Amino acid sequence: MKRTLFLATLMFLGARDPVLAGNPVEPFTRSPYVQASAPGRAFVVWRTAGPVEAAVRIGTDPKQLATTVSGGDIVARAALGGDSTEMAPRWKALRTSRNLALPKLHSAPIGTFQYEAKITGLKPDTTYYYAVYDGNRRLTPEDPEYRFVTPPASGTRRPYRFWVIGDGGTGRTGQKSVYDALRTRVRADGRPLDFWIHVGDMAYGTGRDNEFQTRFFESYEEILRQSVCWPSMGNHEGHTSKGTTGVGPYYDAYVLPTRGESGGVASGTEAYYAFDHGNIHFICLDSHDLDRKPDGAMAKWLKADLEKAKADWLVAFWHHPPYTKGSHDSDKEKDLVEMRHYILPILEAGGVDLVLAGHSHIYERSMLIDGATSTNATTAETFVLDDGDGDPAGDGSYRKSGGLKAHGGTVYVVSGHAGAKLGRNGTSPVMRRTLMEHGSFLVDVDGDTLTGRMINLNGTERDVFSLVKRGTVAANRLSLPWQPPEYKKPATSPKVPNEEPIDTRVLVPRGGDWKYLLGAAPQGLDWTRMGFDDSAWKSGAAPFGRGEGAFRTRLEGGRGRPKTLSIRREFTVEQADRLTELGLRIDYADGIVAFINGREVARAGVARSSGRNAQGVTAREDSGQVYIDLKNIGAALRDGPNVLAIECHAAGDESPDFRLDPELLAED
Amino acid sequence: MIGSLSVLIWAGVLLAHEGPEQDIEEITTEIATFGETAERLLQRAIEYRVLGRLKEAGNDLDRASRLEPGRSGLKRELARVQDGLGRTNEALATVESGLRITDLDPDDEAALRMMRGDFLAARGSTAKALEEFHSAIRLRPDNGDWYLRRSAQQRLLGQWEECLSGLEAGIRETGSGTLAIERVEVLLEAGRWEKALVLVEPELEASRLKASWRIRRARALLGLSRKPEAIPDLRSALEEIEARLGPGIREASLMADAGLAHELLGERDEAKRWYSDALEAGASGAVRSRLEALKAAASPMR
Repeated sequence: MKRTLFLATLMFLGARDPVLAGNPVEPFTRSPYVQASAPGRAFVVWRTAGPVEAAVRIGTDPKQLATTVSGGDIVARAALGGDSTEMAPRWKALRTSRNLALPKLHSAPIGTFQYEAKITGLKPDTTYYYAVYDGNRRLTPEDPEYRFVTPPASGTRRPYRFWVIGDGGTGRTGQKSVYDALRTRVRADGRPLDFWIHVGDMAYGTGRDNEFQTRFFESYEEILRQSVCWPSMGNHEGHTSKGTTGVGPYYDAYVLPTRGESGGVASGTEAYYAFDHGNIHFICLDSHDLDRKPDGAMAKWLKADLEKAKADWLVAFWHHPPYTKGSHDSDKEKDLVEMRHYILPILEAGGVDLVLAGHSHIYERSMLIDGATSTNATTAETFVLDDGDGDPAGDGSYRKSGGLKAHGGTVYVVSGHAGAKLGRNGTSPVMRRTLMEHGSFLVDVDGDTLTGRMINLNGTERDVFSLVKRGTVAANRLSLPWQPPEYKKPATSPKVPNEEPIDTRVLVPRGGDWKYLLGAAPQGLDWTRMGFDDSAWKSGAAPFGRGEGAFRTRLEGGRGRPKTLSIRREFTVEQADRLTELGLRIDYADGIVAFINGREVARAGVARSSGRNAQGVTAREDSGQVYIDLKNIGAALRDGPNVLAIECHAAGDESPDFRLDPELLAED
Repeated sequence: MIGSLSVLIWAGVLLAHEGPEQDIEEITTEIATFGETAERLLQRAIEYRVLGRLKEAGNDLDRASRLEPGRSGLKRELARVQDGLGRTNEALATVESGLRITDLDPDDEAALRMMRGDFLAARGSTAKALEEFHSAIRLRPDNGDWYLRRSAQQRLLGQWEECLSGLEAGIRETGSGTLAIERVEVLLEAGRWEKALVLVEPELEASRLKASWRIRRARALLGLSRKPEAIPDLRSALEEIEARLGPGIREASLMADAGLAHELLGERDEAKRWYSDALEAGASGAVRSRLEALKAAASPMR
């Protein structure tokens, strides 16, 4: 209700469409989502601020949720801080011996409780509706959208559809557009997703709990509610989550099969695992921080799992691509080289059909290839089995023998283009399609045919190929395969505006009132901190400026033309550890340095130092508002009142522009 | 250079993403602009490591670790890089300084102990390594990989009972299929042929790719002096392996399997050739030992 009113107000005010991410509705701090499904079971996971008497009711009729899951079938985890952590009294009250005995959430905001309800006794291939309760109080609305479909029994042959994305967790419009394009496509086809795969980098920049919340869970809330996301950990999640220990926000976010519950050989870890969906066997590996060598535990498990796999199709996925010349180079970077050299031979000898990866911010799709696993620079000669485009309407589908046969050929897809800034350094010789545009990868499997499509952020189908597995096909190694045209890198990289997050709220409004000082900059940095006596400073409203422009506070007067303006004001943050990002939407000339509570958080157009010692102020080349994400937030920000201070410098005495118009935004 | 780049970046304009080199440049700029923090140094070190620039990674991690001496994750990263540089004494010292952090989280302590165990094992201090592995597993009994690493050391010492009971515990705790295979390997190495055979049969039956399990069964059968039954298993395994390796394909574990099958068949030269190829393809440890033993031994059959 509160959010509806908020949205209505924004729409009335003519604001940009803010309906970009689904913020959880109270009391949820993370809306319910489905995990680790198998033909007979699934998990529903959610978070609340503070504990609840957790229960899930479930049934095949949305009006009759006859089965209740509660008590020992629900694992609770909590973030309660440490003995010395400063926290509000309401969170301190939760530090009871009972709560402290719960498994810990790694870095969730203090007061967060996560519930993982294990629902068993389900029928395969059946739609179940669910509701989350606090005792007898229903927390989720009466809404049939809270539902999921259990996977069919392993081996079942019928059409399946899954979605693949990677490197999307930016919280920016590219991510949203890719997601929207996919949903539009799925609706138009009338063919829903059975599940989806994330090949990593789902929570930029360092996989913190907050980043997971805003840039993954809120961004994909609707789809998470109904279909399982099977993840592999990216290097950005790897900053805060460790495969060696299975600890971190990534491992908090997911419930993954460790004992072969969803099919395949038990891995004994969430870092790598397998699952079946109908007649497809999936293998997820951790390419980030585990031993990739043949004698390592992961490779041993992979071999064991392949020995047992009996599905019609075999798909493997992880983060670091074995072949890429996008924003990463698989011939130069150790993680990528090792995945190619040590892991691919095991997979290809096991009959893998499709390998999915991300990391490189681009879409690349190979020809049908086999055996290009050297540590040397990748070459195509003798490793390409079919150099056509694989398009049924073009050169024709790729063909392999039926069943899982070694070295029948594999298609490798880099799908690292779901939102992060794109990049390209060259062309891999094994790639048939290389596209530097945002999008995602949609896969349909129907009997003996697998079809992959790249859907870009406008919904356009930019690549399509099919793989048909039928009869016996002899592998023919091409000594002189088709070669992709050479890529000539532009002399200069295109400049991309630093985009602001899509789901923000205003902490300091545009046009707000500030205390300001015009002329010589104040001595030292005391003025940037709380407690500074600014009673002698003037009060004025932004925008500040001189010359032409609708400035509410004009920067005229005094001797000569003042070159420095210092402004400060307080703002309040209720719980700092719930913020993902803070940013300035700001128009300025010529240079600025910004501080929060005395700590520098942003700098533009000033090369060195600050205040009276500021050096290297350069005239701004462009004009208008830009977005600058603030640094050092974790260290600078505190619960309650904070102070934002900004100094603005003119480039010279005769600088025609001298203006400052800031707005402080929070992504949470 | 740094000044001009900082103006560009912090003015709200970014370049396209172009890989770790660019990331290093951006983090360097950020450090120059906003100061050195452990987090920034760690991020840059990770990029250096990806590019194989371990010395620079080590320098950053060393500084990061000095800035936040209570952060055990930094010690682990630093020790890993020091080990990669061949500075094993320093790596060991770094891990030990990590273990001295007060209020160390049990997860962190366990990871550090595993790392210390690995370093000790690599320098041949097997018994000391085992102590560390025992401690780590007590702290985190749910990590399947760690049971595997402990088992490798116990096998070296011939501690069959401890090894098998440890693996049983690991299987109960984690369900890991890899540990179940390790248990069979240990039974075979310990000469518990009947027990091994009981475990091998259902695995062989359930497998699509049977070569590894056929070789294990053959080992058990040879141990039970049932050579005529073992030979067909070994020949079938080699046929499957040849088909799966294909022309020019270098899959280390299959090559090692082929080496073992030939060794069991008494085909020593073939065995040595396969073992050597497996080592070139990335196999280590057990394969190296078998090759060395084969070179030294007079009798091919065990």
